[in-house]
Amino acid sequence: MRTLLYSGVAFVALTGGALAAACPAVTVSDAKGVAAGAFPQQYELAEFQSLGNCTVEFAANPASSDLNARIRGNGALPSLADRLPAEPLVMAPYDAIGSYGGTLDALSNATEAGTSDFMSTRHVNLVRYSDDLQTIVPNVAKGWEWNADFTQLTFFLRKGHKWSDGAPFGARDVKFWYDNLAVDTNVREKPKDYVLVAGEKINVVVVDENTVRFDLPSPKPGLLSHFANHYAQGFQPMHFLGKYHPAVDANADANAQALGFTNGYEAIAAYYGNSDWMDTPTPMLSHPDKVAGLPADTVPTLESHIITAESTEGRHLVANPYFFQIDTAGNQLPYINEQDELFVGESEVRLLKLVNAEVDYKSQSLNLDYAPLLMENQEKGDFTVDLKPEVALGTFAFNVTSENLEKRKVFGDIRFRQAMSVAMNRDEINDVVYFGLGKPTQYIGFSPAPSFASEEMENYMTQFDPAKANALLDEVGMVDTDGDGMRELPNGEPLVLNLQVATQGISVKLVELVGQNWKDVGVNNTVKEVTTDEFRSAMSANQLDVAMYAKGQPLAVILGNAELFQPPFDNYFNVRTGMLWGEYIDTNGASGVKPPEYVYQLMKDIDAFQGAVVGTEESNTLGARLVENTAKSLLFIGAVKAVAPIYHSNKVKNFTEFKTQSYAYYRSYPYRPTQWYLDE
Amino acid sequence: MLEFSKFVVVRGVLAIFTLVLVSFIVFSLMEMVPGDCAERYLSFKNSQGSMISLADIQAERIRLGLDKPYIQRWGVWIINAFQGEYGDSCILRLNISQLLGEKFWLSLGLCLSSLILAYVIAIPVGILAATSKNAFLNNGLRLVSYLGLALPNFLLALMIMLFSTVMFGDSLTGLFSKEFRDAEWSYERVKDFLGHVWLPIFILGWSATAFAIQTVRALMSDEIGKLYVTAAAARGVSGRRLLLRYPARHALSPIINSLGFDLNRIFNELPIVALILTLTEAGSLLIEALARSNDQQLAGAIIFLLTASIVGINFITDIILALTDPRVRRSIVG
Amino acid sequence: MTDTTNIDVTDDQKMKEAYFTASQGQLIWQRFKKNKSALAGAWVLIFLILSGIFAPFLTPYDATIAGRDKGYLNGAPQIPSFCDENGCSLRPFIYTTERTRSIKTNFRWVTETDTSLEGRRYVEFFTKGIPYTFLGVPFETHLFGVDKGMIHIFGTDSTGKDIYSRTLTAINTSMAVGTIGVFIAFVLALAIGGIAGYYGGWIDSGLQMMTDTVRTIPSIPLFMALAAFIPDTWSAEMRFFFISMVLGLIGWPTLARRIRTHLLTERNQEYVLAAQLCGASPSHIIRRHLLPSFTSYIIVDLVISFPYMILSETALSFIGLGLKDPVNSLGVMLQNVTSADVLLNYQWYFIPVIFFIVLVLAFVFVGDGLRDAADPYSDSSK
Repeated sequence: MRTLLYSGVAFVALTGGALAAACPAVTVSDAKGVAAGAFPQQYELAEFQSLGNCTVEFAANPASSDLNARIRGNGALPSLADRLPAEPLVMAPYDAIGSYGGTLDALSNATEAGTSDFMSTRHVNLVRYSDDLQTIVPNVAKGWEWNADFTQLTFFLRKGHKWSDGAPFGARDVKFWYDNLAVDTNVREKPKDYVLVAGEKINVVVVDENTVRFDLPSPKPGLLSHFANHYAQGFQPMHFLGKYHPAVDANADANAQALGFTNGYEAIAAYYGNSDWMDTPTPMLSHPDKVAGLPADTVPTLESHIITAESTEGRHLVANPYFFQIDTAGNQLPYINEQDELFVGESEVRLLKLVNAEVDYKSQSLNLDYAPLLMENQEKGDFTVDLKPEVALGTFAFNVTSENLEKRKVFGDIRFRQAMSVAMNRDEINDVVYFGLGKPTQYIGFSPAPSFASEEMENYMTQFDPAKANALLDEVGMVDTDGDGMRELPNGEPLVLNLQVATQGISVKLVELVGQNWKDVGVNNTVKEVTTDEFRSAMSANQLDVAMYAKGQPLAVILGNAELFQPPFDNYFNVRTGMLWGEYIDTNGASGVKPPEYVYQLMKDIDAFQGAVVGTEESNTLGARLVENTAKSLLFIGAVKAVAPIYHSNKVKNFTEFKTQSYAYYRSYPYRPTQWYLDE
Repeated sequence: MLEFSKFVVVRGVLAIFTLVLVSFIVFSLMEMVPGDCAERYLSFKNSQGSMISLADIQAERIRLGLDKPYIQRWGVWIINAFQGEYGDSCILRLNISQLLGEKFWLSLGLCLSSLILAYVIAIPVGILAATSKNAFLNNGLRLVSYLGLALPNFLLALMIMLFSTVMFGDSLTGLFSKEFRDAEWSYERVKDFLGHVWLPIFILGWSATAFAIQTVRALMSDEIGKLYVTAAAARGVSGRRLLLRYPARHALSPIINSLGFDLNRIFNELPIVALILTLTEAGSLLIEALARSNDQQLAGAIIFLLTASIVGINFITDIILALTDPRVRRSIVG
Repeated sequence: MTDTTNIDVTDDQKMKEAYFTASQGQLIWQRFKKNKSALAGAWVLIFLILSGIFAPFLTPYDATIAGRDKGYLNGAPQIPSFCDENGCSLRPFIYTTERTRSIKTNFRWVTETDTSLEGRRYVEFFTKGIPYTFLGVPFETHLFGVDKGMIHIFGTDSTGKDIYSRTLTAINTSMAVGTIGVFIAFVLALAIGGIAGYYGGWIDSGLQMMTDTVRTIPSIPLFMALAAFIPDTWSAEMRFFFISMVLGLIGWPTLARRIRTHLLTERNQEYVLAAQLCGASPSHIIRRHLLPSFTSYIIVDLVISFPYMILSETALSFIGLGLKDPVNSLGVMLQNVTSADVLLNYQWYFIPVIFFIVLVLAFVFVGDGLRDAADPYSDSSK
């Protein structure tokens, strides 16, 4: 997409001068005659004022100074005009202009587990995916520009944008994040993949106060998409953390020691943690003995809410008085004054709390089995449950590089895998396990299926055909030699597949049913539940016959991460196969097993795909070939793609239905939770 | 006297030795479990969309110091543990002493309260069950108390919570209400606490009572049959006086003896109940550390404190017994 | 007249002889029989154990997923009746049902029952069903079945497995799994407690320390560590068998400590002194004199440990270790109950829990009864 996009282009000249009329309160449901801006559901200030032929009058949250007083380290509160950027982002709420007030109650598993759905409600980043999950729109940045060959990405930031403590935000904060935190080995042992391009560092250039440019060593069109869907925010407060960073401030260590830390990096670790996750403990939790003497309880943020209290039981947040978004009526967002997060480790207890309507929003860790109970209580508890498709699909992967050579021969035979695929009665599984709401589908890597994935490939070998399965198994040479009804391996040894189910990744009912289907065509198996760690370690040691787990990633993620198409076809935590092929490639042929030709084709295609622009002919062809090779190879046999619940209280307004129930696109971020409001 | 102090000193040394040995065994066991703490921590993040590679895991290990040989890690840890420093929890990223803070005392208090409640009920009921002729009363009491044994704690907890949710709309979780969560200790907070803590004490206490009644009844029945009781009855001592002065006193000594282990048994049941009731104390932290995150230092710390408590109680009860029961004293010393 | 008096005297004399020559076992049995509650407990226990052993015959269907009823998921129990508005019948019957569910019903099954004469399905006894082997001999007969479709007297679970079949099979698994652990714990406790108590002094202190150590080791990390060493190919039952063995290895301390304390006091009694003066060896004294005085504790502990072994299985399964679906054990079935949804809507899942509770109570009452019966001093009535 080689478009030059400047939001806030000067239409001003045409309109000429200030206009007296207040702006109409445009919402998504009622545009009040105002044309849409360059991006859906939002405007730049100047753009909105010219389209609406009006002037926006800013209005502040009456509780702002109270809330500001609760943020330790913040000075007195300036007027709203001084808190907002000169170019705030104007959000058109979905249904109505909201009212200020209330506390959003949320639930997480623990301080750093099960937190991402809640974190996403306050998340900001340079850009954002809109709720169609395809269009990238401005957020912290008001615009961006690629150069011709995707080696330079420039972001235009907002003039006058301030951190939550009132200090100015600008390009230097982006450079600080990258140079001094993300790739500084004193902060992080090894930089994460997403900050590198093919292993090489990016050169971040401060063009001017509000313009920052990423100079890439090689083309990476996916970088923009990364900032739209990833949890890692591309900026950190240099004015605050820089004081303790030895590379930025000569007195860094002294500054830190004055607070009780041994050196500057320790102070940085206390505030920033060592990852871009925003749920790492603040000094309130990690250094309760020192926190009273620290300048602030938590690092300043650009998010809509900031943490004011934290313990092992929960967190409390208040609205950020310097937040950069306003609604079309000029009210500064967020509407919701406070957020309260409670940690509950046990899933049944979380479910009880949801049934009791003690929570306002939850989607992570909810699975379909909870749906009947939740849906029955919707009226009594005054909440709504939406069932939306998940991204990951339960898959079965036979060990094509098994240590047992006979098994390797059989599992490596495409006819065997085809037989196992058609032996599965996906409709029955759908009915029993997923209430008939799932979608029987084959595994194609991409999920949701993009446009270049044909239906034929999505349904490849998903029909229920035990006769065909039996015929294929006969062809492979697996016959029942001892008359017990179960087939033996071609060399006569008995075969009993050990189906180890890690319930975190796949439903045990699903595996039981598939196991029964396979027994019906003569392939004997036992089903056993194991812990996720046992499963992972057995898989790494190449000891599993069949690995079963949920798998699949959206296009946006695949653009930046090629794991799914390179042996062993996923990262350490997910389901992999062809472990020895991976070894062969990693060691350049020194050990392991040489993969077949189609694997090399996959690897070549994914590299090219990541370098191509999404939507072009070249990209679609590459994508279609990736899908076809993945589906036809049946390295991962897909079963049924399920739906999962998204829960929200009816008190929460301006809530729009999500498209998927998954972490992809960072949960609620595309659906603009900053414009939610509570109607008690 | 010298013999006796020798006995005390020897017991003291052995107690410390036990502490060291138990912590070593626990550390080793956790070492053998697949998936160390770094991996578990990162796997949370993986399920939230982070792409974690093996190199990331290794980097995390190095950061947490998990790459050093485990004997070295344990050695450093145990030396610090005796000074009250337990290092950092690898999954919560917090200093353990600060994390445990008052939590361990809360847990200990919970367990001791349940134990005391159990024996307060069990001793009279057990004596009654051993001596009463009323079969109905006898069997009825036993049935009710043994139900506490047969019905698992977590099931009972869930049922009570569910009942309360359906009937009163209150899920009865936690040790404090929201307002008092981070507040300072005050009269209000204590009241709030008492209003929440009765439930875990009741749940843990019921099964502990069953166990205790069994024991008391058995011990009483044994002692009642003994000849010295018959002798006392023959001398004219009767009724309650007969019961309390003779068999009851003797029956109690094995009970005192096993107090430490009873505490351990209850503390073993506490984690699951704590998990369900979302009690924010050491029991639920322990189960998280053991079963979910393989956090050696946190689990090690809690078990160290627990073992110290139990060993301490055993030590004290041994001394009390040696002081009060001349038969035991003679055996030990002579 | 003279004859009857003679007979009376001889009878009386016979009874006395019988009493004096009776073995300890016979005496215990006599006393046990008199205790009504203990006897009741024993009958219940025997009944349950036999149900477990004869489970394949008593249950109509396979307790695994192969025996599921596809048309009756999460179904309520079907109790046969003899009469309804269409008249009575000698053979009990149940009704045919049609079930549907959709998003409109919040995915709860809506059941339509056909109560007409045609909708009746008659219960038959000694039906031919799925084949099974018992003691190596193949059989096909089951106690009961129904002429069309399937009958679920305890209802079904979420995949359609018959809960009645699962419960009886589960009793078997749970009993088998508890035995080994209890036995090992028992033997170890006797040995270690006995030696510590008899010798006292240094040996006692050393063994005490070992006892303390083993007692305080929490079972969870032990379980998890061992689970890592079990070969993949073992079935879930074998795996738990192995682990319950280990539970036994750490389960001896409580009893050992009690034995040791008791012995510390008893070994200074006169009868022990007498035996020593007769030249008896320490092991003889421990075995034949000291330990029998302790039988009551031993018996109580033995019988109590049994259900406790099963209880620990359920607790561990709850956290995610131990036995899990699809294995059939009482612990697994208990686990299935611990879900808010089930407790609110599918109360029949609770039936195996009732079996479990009754089993535990039976053990406990039998234990109490045995303890009373075994106590040599308790026959003097007070």
